[in-house]
Amino acid sequence: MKFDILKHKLVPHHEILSQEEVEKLLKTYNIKKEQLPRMLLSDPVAKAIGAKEGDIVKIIRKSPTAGISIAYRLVVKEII
Amino acid sequence: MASKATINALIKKGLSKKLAEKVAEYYTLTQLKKVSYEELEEKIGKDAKKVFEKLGRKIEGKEKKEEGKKEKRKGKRRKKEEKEERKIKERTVKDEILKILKERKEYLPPIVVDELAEKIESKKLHNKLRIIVEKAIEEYNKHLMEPFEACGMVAAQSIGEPGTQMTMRTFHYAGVAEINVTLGLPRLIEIVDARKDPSTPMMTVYLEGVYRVNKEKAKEIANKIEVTRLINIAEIETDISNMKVIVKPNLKAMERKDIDMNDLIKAVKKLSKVEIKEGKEKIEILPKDENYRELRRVSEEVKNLKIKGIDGIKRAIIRKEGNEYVIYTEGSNFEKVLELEGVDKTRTITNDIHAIYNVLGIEAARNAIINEAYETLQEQGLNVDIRHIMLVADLMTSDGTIRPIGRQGISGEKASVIARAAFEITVDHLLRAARKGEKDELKGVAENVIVGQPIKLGTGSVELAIDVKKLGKVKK
Amino acid sequence: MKYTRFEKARIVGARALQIAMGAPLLIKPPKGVVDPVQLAMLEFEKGLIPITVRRRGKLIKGPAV
Repeated sequence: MKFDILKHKLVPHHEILSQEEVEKLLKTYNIKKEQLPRMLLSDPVAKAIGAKEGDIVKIIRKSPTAGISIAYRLVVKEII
Repeated sequence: MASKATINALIKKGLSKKLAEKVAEYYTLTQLKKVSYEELEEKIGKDAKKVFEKLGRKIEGKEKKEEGKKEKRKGKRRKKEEKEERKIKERTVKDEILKILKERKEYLPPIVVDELAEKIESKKLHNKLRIIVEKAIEEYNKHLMEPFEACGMVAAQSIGEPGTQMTMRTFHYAGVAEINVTLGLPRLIEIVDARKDPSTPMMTVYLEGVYRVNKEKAKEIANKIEVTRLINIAEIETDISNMKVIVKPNLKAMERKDIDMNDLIKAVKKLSKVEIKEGKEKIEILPKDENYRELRRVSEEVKNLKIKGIDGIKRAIIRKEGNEYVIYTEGSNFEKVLELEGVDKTRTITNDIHAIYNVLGIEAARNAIINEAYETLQEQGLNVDIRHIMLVADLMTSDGTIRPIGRQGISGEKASVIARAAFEITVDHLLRAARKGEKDELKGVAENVIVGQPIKLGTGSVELAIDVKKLGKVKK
Repeated sequence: MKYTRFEKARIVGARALQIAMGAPLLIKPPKGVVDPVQLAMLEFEKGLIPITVRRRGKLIKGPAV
């Protein structure tokens, strides 16, 4: 990797959730993993943070309307 | 070299014995008349000021500037300290606000909490903190969107209606310098359709370090990325009678583009099936097979031979913005340009959204979609609230790839047969579904409208029930 | 309970329909008011309508994790 894409100003902060955080998330929204938005395993950021298939990534975005906004993405291998 | 005469002379001028001795160590009286303040200060420190005073010498402009600069630095430092203090105070206010939020089990967005903390601190309203926060919570909840609001419909209308006011004409010289960029409705359609090749790809290359402030260095990078072909820097003659192509390099053009003969020869050597003869001021290229067709082929290849530059970058233009140099390119090769030294890899962008997706990932692509769409609308003078565009971008990137809104993307992936049939290619969809025996669960909007039932949004989402407690009161 | 505007619309609408079909009123009608919708709205503002809403799921404020 020639440079750190995580430092680019278009890329927000990504982090992988721990197992218990994942459980808390699914329980709070009463959903299944598959109902979350997705991110490909081959995504440059997924590779940069070392995400595996099935991980859930927490994304902390700078939002023009709320200041900070949190999103979650499930890492999948490919779109069928 | 302390001479007694110097010491005595200095004491006579009014300096203390100690100081006079110190000064005389380094300078004679005549030297003192010529030495610069800085030098003297270096040797004897702060006392130099006193010495100059007693000698009747003025501290020159430069030294005054130094003094002025010192004052400025002190002022800046003080301001910084004040800012730090203020930040700490704001943080304690912020913690108090967060505590109240936690106990009331309410939420305020971080931007609001920060602004409240700042205002409470600056206007000294600490005693009214609780009331302020409670009012803020009330107002925030009032402004929240309600569940089952048809936000998609509202977003579509909010973007579509100004869309009818946009120009269809593309031949606008927008953006910077002479670079032609697609604007208006055609550009918006490109974005929403997730076109893989935008019609006018363009990059904004920011620089770092010395390249950022030095014009020559910036030109270096521009020359590195702008594609230069042999025909731009040399005269190319096709000598039919002798079956050869003669290349006469134009040294001035080469110098302008920062290319030397070695680069040229290296590039020419890449040609296939040719023999190369290097002359004094020319290069002769002879095709191995001596026939006219080969000669023609070689001649074309030679003319288009790329000598320098990154594939895809047709032109690179340098502009000064504020106090830095920025390069705008016609054509885009996001990955390769980011690899160059001197290019700021945190700020450089392109308007090719798929390129951003491939290099920086899905979230960056989402931001790129929002920025491009918003700017396209802004440029036309239309003010669309950004949250509508954010919704569209979220939808387009929800599955990890960039899906166009149209038939090949989101609209074509709807679960309902009737909805897809109502959108495009009606008969095909219905026939195929009938043949398969498909079932339409009538969960969405379009199908329910067609069938004649209330939709599941808005008032259709409400389940009424009897309020037993109130009913009891009624019976009385 | 704070109703969304959709819920309010449904409740007032359902009550207005009942009034229009002859149901007894829960308030004393002010002079000259005969429109069922207006009457239903007055009842709603007083909190007298025994119709409520069944909400599925809870409202989540702020980030979950």
